[in-house]
Amino acid sequence: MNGERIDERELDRLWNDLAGDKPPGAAYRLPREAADTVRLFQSLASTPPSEAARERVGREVMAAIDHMEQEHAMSTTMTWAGAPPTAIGRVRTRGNPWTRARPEAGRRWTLASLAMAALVLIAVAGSWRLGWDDRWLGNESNHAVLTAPAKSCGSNATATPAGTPVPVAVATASPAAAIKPNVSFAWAASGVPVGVSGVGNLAIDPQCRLWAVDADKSRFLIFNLDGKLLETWGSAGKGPGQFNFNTYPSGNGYFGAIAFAPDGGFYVADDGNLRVQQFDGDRKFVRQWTISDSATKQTGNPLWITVGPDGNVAVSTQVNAGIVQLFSPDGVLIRTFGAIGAGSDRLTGNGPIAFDPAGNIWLLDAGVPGLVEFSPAGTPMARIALPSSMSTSVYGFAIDAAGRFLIPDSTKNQIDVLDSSGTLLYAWGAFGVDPGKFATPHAVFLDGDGSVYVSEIGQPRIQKFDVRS
Amino acid sequence: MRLASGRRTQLGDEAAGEASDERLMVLRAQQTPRAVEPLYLRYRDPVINYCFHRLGDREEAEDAASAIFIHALRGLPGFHDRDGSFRTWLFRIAHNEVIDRHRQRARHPASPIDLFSEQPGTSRSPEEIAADADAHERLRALLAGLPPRERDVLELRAADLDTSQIAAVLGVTAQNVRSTQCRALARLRALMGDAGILDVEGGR
Repeated sequence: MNGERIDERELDRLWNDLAGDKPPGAAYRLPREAADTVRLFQSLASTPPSEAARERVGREVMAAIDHMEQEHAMSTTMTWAGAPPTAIGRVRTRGNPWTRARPEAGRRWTLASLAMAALVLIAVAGSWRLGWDDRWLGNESNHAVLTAPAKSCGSNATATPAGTPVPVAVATASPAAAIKPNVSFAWAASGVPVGVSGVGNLAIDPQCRLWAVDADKSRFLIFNLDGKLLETWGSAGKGPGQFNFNTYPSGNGYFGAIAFAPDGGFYVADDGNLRVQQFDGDRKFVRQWTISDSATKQTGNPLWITVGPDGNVAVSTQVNAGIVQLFSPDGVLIRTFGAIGAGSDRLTGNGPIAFDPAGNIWLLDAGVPGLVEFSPAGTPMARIALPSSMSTSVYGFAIDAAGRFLIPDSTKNQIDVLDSSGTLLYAWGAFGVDPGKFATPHAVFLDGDGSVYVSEIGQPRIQKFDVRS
Repeated sequence: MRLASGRRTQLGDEAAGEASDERLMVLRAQQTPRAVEPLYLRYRDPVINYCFHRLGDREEAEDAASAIFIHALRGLPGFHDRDGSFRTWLFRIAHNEVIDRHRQRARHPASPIDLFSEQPGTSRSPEEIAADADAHERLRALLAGLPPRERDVLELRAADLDTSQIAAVLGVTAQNVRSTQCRALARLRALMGDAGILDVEGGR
């Protein structure tokens, strides 16, 4: 292939585009033999998909457009009915010329309007919890809860290295919002080892140390609450005390999670090794167990893990027949719930989970994004739709003492704060490397003293914020 | 590296015009879902190709491409062209969709299939087709051996995204993309040399 003619200017542009954004000091020049590299990339990209592929994708997209236009009609009805908007800044177009142009669609619109009018009544009565039956109508008293370590850690921390906290710009949902949050940047963790490209899930142990998943090396980074790296623990492998968090491309490389019991023992969702490992307070291996998929008779991936106030361990999995699996502290399966499927009480995707002190379990359904509440018995109690202004790339969330949800939006590079009914209250962050900005925020963890820790997988950083509302 | 039409010329003018008319397309599509058609036609082939390359399975790639456009359709009302183009935003959705699908099939690894079967209407000889298919397969195999982030960067390059766009898609800094792609290219060139795809003698 070296003998084939390649346009020199095009080659220059392509290669410089590929390799020319060089780091300072690097001495790249255009090598002749690079022609084949560039040419191969070019042909990879320009090989057209088949007509059948185009047609199939087009058909599905058109069906989605039809469906959306029906929804659009419903949304207009909801606005007419006086319901509050569900999204900040969402564009709503009144009228629907599409339905006027198609009588059959107009009939569908009429039926949809009637259905939606009924839905609006239910939604208003349920404070915007979409309740199709009693199980989905939640109990408000369960929302003002605290998901944080039982022990307060803030008082144990010394003064922040950064000195005076730096105020962070906060976008509120409306200028007249009752909540005037005060968010300040405290520190960015120092001493993240070289070679770590990002930081995954977070947890604070009973000794007030911050543990962070290092997916690159399948281990944990352990910081004090001033952001100083104390040690690393664990290694890549399949043995006890070894982990596989870097499962890409079969996984996405940023899973692996840890949760602490009050006695200092802890559980690790060892995603790539398809197991949960349990350790005691001295980090000695206790036992391991797998995630079973009763439908396929195969072993499932544990994705997220959390320990409830009763010591039971909840694991969020990829098992469609039961996304949530609840275990006793010694790893005995208690029950499985939260199946994916059609139906009002079904989930549309897997996602992170959190216990509240009442023992209820919240799951962030990443399919049709929403927060779903389950009782300890696994009964679905409520579903809160996320504002449509949020992206679907939302990950490890937390619940603060007032029952608000703190959700990292990795597409918008911000932390969204929602009230217990799912209304967006305020947000902070944007893409960047400066304090208060993020490169793909991945997990949020609270220390019980108003401090919020945020990990990023787009750069090796953990930031701490003090949030006062 | 224009995906649908081959070579790009007069890059600056074309890119500026593309950005301008794209903004209008986005505005229209935000008001009426059906007006998304020109955007869809512009990005259909690049997105399908990207999914082919990342997933290694034609049928799943089609499913993924459909899901990407449907996600995009649903997200369009909330899309703000503040810090990036529609292309960046769309490929970020594509990147996330591919990652999700890799996760979903973690327990059922798919066997690679022929991604580069010749399309009807081409006039190349069977020998040329075979040579290219072979090179493609070998390159794909080599790409699969790169660390995940390096592969991400190169394959988004192949999808015609520039440094800042890739940084935005992956949620990393531009400097991170630059250093990653330098490492990736060095590693890939060495691998290509080892595999006999490329003669690397006399390189940099």
